[in-house]
Amino acid sequence: MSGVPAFTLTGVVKRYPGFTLGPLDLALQPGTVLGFVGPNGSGKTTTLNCIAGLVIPEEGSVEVFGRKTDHRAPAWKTNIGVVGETHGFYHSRTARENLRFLSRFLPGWSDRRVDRLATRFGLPLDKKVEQLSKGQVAKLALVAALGHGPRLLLLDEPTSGLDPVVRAEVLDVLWEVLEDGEHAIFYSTHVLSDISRLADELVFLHEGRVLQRSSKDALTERWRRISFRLADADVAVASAVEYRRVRAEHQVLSDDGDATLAHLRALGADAIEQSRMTIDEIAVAILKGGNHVAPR
Amino acid sequence: MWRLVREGLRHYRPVLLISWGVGIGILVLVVTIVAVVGSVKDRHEIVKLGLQAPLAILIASMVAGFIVTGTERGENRVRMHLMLPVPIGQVAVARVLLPAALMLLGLTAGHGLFAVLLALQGSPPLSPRHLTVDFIAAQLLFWLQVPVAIREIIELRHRVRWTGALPAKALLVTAIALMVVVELGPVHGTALQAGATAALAVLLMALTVALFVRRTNFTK
Repeated sequence: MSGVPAFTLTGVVKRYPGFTLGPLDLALQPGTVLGFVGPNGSGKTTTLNCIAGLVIPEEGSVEVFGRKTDHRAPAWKTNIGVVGETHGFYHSRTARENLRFLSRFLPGWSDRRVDRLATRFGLPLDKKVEQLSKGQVAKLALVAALGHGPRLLLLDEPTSGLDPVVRAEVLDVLWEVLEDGEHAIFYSTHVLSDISRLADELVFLHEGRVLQRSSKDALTERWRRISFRLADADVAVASAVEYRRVRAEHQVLSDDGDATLAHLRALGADAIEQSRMTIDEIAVAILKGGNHVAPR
Repeated sequence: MWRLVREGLRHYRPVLLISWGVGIGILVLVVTIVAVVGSVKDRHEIVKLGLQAPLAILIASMVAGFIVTGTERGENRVRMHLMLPVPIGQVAVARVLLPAALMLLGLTAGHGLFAVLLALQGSPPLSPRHLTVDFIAAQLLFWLQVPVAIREIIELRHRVRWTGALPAKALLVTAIALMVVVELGPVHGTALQAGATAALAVLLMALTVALFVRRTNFTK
């Protein structure tokens, strides 16, 4: 595995009227899938565009495999494949002609790889782009992004508009891309079920700032839903992120299950029951508040 | 850069040819109507009308140019081109060269057609009147580039205060004012007018390129 990060964002700030992204410090190692999670308008797409060079930040620097993302010296672009909200395809040309166009510019392009992916996705390469469905355009974008075998894939909601079967196919393809341990994927989404299988790490973004970065396994290990009975009306529980009381039964969401359980035992709580939370539930809890809540 | 322009020309060739066909078709229709039902019956007068054919080709090329710039923008081509390992300066130049290349093809076809028509009329095919074709082509090229420049100024206005965009706006307005002066004013001699107009078109293209490479957002 190479020691150079796939990308590094250092102190990146991008301002829009009414919204500021950053300061953002983020790096991704090769062989890693980073799930970039946040609600609409949190700055996910802007971050991805900063890495891809489509948006130039006002402050900070962006490097891809150790090279500054400078459009005047664009060699770094051969290392990335981008699937974004828009693609810039020629609508009145066929999918194959669009891919051929890209192949003339991108070193490392493999027609064999492209044909294999297209077959796998059932992508009709001889149809004009304007005749393709939204899902087929998304597939074409992914094939186009993978055609030159980039080491870094930047994906912005790549499964948007795809049916569940193709969605699973896309994720399978991404798994294969990761097999050699040299590739990295930056996967921006607000649909966590997409990346709960794929991501090694998750970054939660809210209003342009990183709330939390954690490995997926650590999150699912730590976060618990715990219910218990306690005579006290209200109680402050350690590591509780959300607290609810229904008559004598108390329920908490904890971002450190072990600490919460230890505290509850010390308080003398009984009928303690705990369950693990899904990544979806954890993400909602983090993005809803992020901070620990006081008991009501 | 040349590859981008070449690919663009290959893609938009049908648009250009159809535009030429429509332009010539309209002219032929007008000449036919004039010949059949109009007061002009003299053959030489009809041929004189036919001499407008290069103008039809040039206008058709400009229309094709507008279609191309509109399609490129509508299909967000910048997004695709910026993801290619092509230096930004080359992408910027290719953006203005593509519609200019269509005009250049129109100019070439216009000159060829004009020479044939002059020969049919019994005049020398390489008459100085060809300069008029150049002058018209340069004017149309200028007006074809104006919306592209305006688009870049709007982009600039999005990221700087209005005062920051003022020099670019002033340059554009000055170029347009000079263009009007060249078209209507005291500049005499078709060669001079054609040269001045072409220079203004190139200046406008240079402004567009300079603004594009300074952009901070290439998502639109």
